[in-house]
Amino acid sequence: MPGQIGLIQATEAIKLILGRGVPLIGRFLIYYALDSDFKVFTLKKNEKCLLCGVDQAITDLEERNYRGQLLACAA
Amino acid sequence: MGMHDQTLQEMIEQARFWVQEIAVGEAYRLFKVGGQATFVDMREPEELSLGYIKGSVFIRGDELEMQARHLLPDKGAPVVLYCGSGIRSLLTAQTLKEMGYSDVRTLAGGIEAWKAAGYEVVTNGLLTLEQLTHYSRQVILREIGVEGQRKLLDAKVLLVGAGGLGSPAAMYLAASGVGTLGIVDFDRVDKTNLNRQILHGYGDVGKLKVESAEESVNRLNPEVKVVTFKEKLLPQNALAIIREFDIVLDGSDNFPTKYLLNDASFLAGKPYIFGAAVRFEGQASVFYPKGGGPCLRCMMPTPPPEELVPT
Repeated sequence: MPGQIGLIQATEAIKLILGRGVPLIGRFLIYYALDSDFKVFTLKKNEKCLLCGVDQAITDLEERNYRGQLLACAA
Repeated sequence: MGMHDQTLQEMIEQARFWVQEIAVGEAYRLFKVGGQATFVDMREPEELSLGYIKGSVFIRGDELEMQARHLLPDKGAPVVLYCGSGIRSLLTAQTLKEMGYSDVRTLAGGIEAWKAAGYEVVTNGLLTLEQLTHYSRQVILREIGVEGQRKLLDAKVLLVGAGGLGSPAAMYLAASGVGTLGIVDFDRVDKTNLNRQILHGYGDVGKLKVESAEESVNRLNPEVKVVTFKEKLLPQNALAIIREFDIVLDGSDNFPTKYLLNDASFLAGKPYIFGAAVRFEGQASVFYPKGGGPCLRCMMPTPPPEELVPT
């Protein structure tokens, strides 16, 4: 599964760089490999979002916002 | 299919009987003396960015009759047709003869043979001749072109995690000529990674993933600049790293890192390309509030409790 998703991500990056096509902004794609099915859901902006909402609560990167151990390792 | 091939083959043989094919050396001689022959480029507009012979006129196959009357008014003057590899121009040359043009030649092997022989072509200078060849199969796409390829070569993408998601992403971005790839990973290659983390091979077990990743990327495309970060992504370093790049691609496997990437990308104003894969399901999205969309926290305000997260 990571292979297919990584390539979708790479394709999105290339689209953004080129400024071509319709990127997955505001949409959430799920790939069900066992069913050979892709579904795309529309995502709405949350006006009350802690980060990008009208009353932004998160204005810098503080440890407490990311509970648990931080690992940038392999999926 | 067989019938079709046969027919095309017959058409080519028939055209060769009526039209004189000339080798690149002979074409160059005609070109060099100048004014002796009009060079006609038969390719589609998007192919011209790969370079054309100086002084050529451009005629599209489907507009042949109209354009020939306008651009080649003298039916007795010598004409050299060329295309990409010499087939289209050969067939078109026969049509021109049928229209009454008496001195029609076609360049065997087309512009590819011309370039391979080292003869000069006109380009807009955005890419080198080497790059035009290297990326030609995507440069001829209308959506990319020379300008798009230049954008790719100038782009900087940050990959967080050189694992299952980051591996294929890095390899395809490198192959397509994304000029700078940043790779963040503190981990070493383990044998259990190899079934999916295709940046790393059997001989890389025990190596730092960023080192093995850099080798794989540069084996695919030595033109790509790889910037490695042999460290964990943390609140303390995330913004400084992300600010150096245009786009953030998430190859991480845990929620704390995903939330950190989401927040840092938002604060730096960069698109965050989310990805996740568990068992037989995968997910992807682009979180980019600056581009009009939501962020990860719009969906789930805080990371889910660790005990609910599958590994």
